[in-house]
Amino acid sequence: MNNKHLASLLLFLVMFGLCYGVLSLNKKKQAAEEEADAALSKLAMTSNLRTTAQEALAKTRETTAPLRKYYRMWLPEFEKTDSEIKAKNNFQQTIKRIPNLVFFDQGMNPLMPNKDAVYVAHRASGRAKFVGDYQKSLQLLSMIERELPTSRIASVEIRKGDRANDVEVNLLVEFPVIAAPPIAKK
Amino acid sequence: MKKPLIIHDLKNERPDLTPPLPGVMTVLPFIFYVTVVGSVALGAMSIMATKKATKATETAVASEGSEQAQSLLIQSELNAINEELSQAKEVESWVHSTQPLMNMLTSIINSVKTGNTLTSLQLARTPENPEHVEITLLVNNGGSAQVEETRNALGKEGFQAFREDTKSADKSTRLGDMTYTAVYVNTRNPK
Repeated sequence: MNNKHLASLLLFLVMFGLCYGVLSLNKKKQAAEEEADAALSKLAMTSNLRTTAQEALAKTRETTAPLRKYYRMWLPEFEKTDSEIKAKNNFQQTIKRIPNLVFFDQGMNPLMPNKDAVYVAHRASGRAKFVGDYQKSLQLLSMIERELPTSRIASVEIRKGDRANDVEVNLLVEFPVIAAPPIAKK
Repeated sequence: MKKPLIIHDLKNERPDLTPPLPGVMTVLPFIFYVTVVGSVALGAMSIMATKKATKATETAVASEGSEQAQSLLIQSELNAINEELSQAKEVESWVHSTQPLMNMLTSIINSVKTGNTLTSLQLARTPENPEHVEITLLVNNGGSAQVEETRNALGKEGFQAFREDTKSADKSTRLGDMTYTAVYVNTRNPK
């Protein structure tokens, strides 16, 4: 083997090295492109999911807007009696506003659970038994329904009293007791 | 070509022991240059394409992260709306169950004709369905005529009766004592 043979071999080796290097770079390029394609298709999928979720949100917002508006309108009233203590205070303050009614019994019954309810989970019941003028007694019932709009008269029994215009009233009023503080308004 | 002999060069010129390279090897330098230029060009193109693909991957991953963050926000807002909605339904259901009883009460009282008297009147919401109001009316004087007056008055106010019952100790129920029980529902403001 002479110098020319060695030089040729060297040239072949260099050429082989160069080709090998180019092939390696090409493989790297292909891998990077495949990775980019995968990332882009994943991005497209995520983007589609986001678009679908956004559409669902917009639709839910639109379809539930009236009910949620109604809820927010009523929420301050519900917050006024969001505990048994508040319900008791509101009830007792209201029934004492009409003078000349003689109360035999007034107080609160134990909290009762509301069936299948999670938010308005319980109801507090205020009871009152009183005797008084017929007009004033009706005025009291009317006042309860007007000034405590979330309350409901669960039962009322009116019997004739001892005196001409007197009636005996046995009253049970229920108040909603909400479970937890309301969610933040948006 | 003959080399001039130098005194210290003791070796004589010798003929080549290996055969010469084939003639085709004369293009080897050309192939080498083409390979070098081609490799540099292809290598540069590959490096540029790799960099571009890597950048595209990074951008896609960053965008995906942003999309996922937005999706999470949307999902959390959707959850909040759904939670608010379930609360709203319960609130609505409660509010529907608080239909005032005063209309019913005043209708019954105003339906009592002169000369007729009531011993007692009881209105109670049924526990299963608070929109339904159970009435127990004890008529002292007036009997079935008074019950009919009361039924008509409630009908005019939009209350519909079901599960009605009347009891009387006396057989001539027209004007005597009578107990009237019924469950009424307001048909003008249905749930």
